[in-house]
Amino acid sequence: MKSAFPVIGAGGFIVYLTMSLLVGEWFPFTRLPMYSDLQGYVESQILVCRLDGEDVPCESLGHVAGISPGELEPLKERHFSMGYRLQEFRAQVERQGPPPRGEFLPLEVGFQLIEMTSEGPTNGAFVPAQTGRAWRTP
Amino acid sequence: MTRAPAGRWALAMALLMGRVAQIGLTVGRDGFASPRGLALWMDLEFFTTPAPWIVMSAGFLVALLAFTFRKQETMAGWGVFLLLGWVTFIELCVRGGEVPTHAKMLPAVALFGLLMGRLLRRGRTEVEQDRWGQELALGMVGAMFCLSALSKWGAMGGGWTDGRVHALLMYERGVGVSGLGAELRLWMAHRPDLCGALATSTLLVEFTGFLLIFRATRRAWVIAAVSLLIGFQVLVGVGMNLSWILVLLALAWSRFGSHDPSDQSEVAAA
Repeated sequence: MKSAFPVIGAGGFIVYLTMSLLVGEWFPFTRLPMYSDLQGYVESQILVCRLDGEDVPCESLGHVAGISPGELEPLKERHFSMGYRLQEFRAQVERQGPPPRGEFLPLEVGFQLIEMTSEGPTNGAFVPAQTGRAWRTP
Repeated sequence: MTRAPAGRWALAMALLMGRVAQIGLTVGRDGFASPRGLALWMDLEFFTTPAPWIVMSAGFLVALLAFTFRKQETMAGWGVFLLLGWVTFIELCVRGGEVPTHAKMLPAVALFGLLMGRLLRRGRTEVEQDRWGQELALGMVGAMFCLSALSKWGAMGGGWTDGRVHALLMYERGVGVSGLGAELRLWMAHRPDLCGALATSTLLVEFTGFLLIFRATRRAWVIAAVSLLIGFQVLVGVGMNLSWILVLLALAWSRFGSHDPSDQSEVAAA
């Protein structure tokens, strides 16, 4: 007759928990630390593309001229967790084809400072990093 | 050929997904960023070139198929497990860091539990081996979630539930992009209290991972855990791995191995 208490499952739970705490990241043991240390940031910065004075998604820019994406760097004194967006923008500019016909608009690429309050996000200053020209995807 | 239960198929699919998630991290890369262990003594960068990678991937697929259809099951299962471990080692050598990508970890741990159960009950009936394996897998997977909560608590204590921190993450990932998910993130970012409540419930679900081992609480807990994983993916863009969800659903609603007649009698009695 089987016990009502799941002894085997409890044993697996305790052994895996203990081993993972002891050895850390050693396959197949893990402490699953992903997304654990958020470091308590409530201030940050995000990459912003400002086309002719209007904030637009950077990926909506059909062609960019006069910008050196490899030299775009976030402000050092402010937390920045969106490195992948910056990488995507760099890749987007690097792989773009020849410029299309039509009028180019003035473009500012920079970083928008953000602060999170108990009421929600508030935007601080926009710090332009580079200026150039861009053509919006129709 | 023994017909594989749905749970076995789910585990096999999850293991395959975990392996596929490692592809970009383990082949066609320029050497090791952080050689370690055996790689300090031997030139193992050869394993990131296409030829050995294809051979090992083919071996993985063959072992996975054999495991799924219960042909030389134990040997095939350990083969899958060891190949995943090897590729995880190569992945860490290639990209550095101490923490492997998590997509394959939960399926690998479930497989580990199943295989350990079979090992510990070697010589007994297939049903008995699989019952031990299933229960060990339940315990180990539950422990993973508890460990995740302990990591959060250890890193930030109660500060992990500060709604402003999570609201900021959602805002960063919602602003400047389009789509329904982005709109939801922005909506949530303006409600830090709600974000804090969700963070608290996340910790609660993870800390109670042990509920997975109890039949009475298993399904309710899995529903909560799957909701958590989906919520993480929608709101923050991390956390949801279909492989994890498959394994959790299989643990709650199916079996990895043989049908256990005693379970059926209990269900019938209930």
